[in-house]
Amino acid sequence: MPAASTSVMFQTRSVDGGGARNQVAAARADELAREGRLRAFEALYWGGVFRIFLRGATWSAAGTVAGIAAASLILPQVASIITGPRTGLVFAVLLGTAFASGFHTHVRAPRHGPRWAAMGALAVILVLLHMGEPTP
Amino acid sequence: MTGTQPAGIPASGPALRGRDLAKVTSRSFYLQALFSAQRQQGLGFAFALIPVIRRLYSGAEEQGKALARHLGFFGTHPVLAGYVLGVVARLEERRARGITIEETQIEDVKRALASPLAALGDPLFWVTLRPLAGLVGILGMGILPLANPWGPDLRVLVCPLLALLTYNAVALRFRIAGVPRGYALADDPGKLLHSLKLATLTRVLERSSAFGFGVLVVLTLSVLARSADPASQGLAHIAFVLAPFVLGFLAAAFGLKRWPGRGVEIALSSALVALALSTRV
Repeated sequence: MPAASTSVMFQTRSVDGGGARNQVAAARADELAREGRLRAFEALYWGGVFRIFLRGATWSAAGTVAGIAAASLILPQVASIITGPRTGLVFAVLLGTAFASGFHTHVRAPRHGPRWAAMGALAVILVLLHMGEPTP
Repeated sequence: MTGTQPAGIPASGPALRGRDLAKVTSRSFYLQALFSAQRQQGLGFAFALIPVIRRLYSGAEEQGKALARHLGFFGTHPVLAGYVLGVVARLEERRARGITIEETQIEDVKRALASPLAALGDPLFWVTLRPLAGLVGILGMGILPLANPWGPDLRVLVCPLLALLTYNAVALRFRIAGVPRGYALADDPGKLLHSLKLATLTRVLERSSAFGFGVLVVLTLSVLARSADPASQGLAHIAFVLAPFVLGFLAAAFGLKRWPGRGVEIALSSALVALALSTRV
């Protein structure tokens, strides 16, 4: 299956949440095509589009509510141990992790990546020096 | 299409109009709504082609047969699917006009185009453009000045907006141009693929991405250096403050080399370790 590249992997994870339902829809689509009912097929497909939007919207809203609820339950319990230095330490480690991930994505993989990253860094250093801002 | 009749199509018989191709383009945005493991985008492909089928075939039986031809397996990069739709629309037009085009011939063309488009589209859109769009959003957040220091930081809205704009500035162009261009260059799929210059665009975006990362590193370190040593307490103090950042960077850099694609797990593990260590702070 030559076309089954990484895009398919992404799609399978993100879009194919209702896989079994979509397989049923595919069988129904075959029937509708045999009967020549284009309008019914379109209705079937718009139903699938609506489901995707509904699922996405539900997840967004429900995830936000669940996150806020969890935070409001957990944070008061641990408020006494969340001090400024501790939060700063965790944040700094996470920031470092994010930069390492960014390095792998943006610099390490592409050809001549380090060279272009160095040019970007140099450009900003020159701008900062010109503006009189402190540089790292 | 009427008005600009492509070469190789007899003058008589049903012809596609620009409006039909526009409808196919708009429907191609929903290509993956009924995605399944067996047929992937097959149903979406057939759905997008319905305006073409309606224009070219009259009668439920003919239309049903045409629809059934496109319900099978189809999988390519969703942003680039329009090119295949355009080529197939033209083949269907010829078939409707009586030119002998076998079903297998249409299927072969679909597969022959879908595979390279998927192979070229993945590194461009998923691997390069999407991270670059995120990077541009973050850079916007870092570069834009805070409008009101006492009010809410509205830059958090600018960040996703910039990311969306960056991604769609590139992707929408391909989505909108795909169907008409595929229709126009249906006779020469090789020329069609070459004209997209996807590999060149990937290289340009990769370099922009690396350049942007260099900019972000300096901007961030400049802010960190400034905030780490407000009272000019010396290098040792700065080193102490920046140590967790450097340790997080090194741990993730080695971790990602060992377990590529496990960024979230590595970040969570690092955060947990940091949290455990922070209880001693």
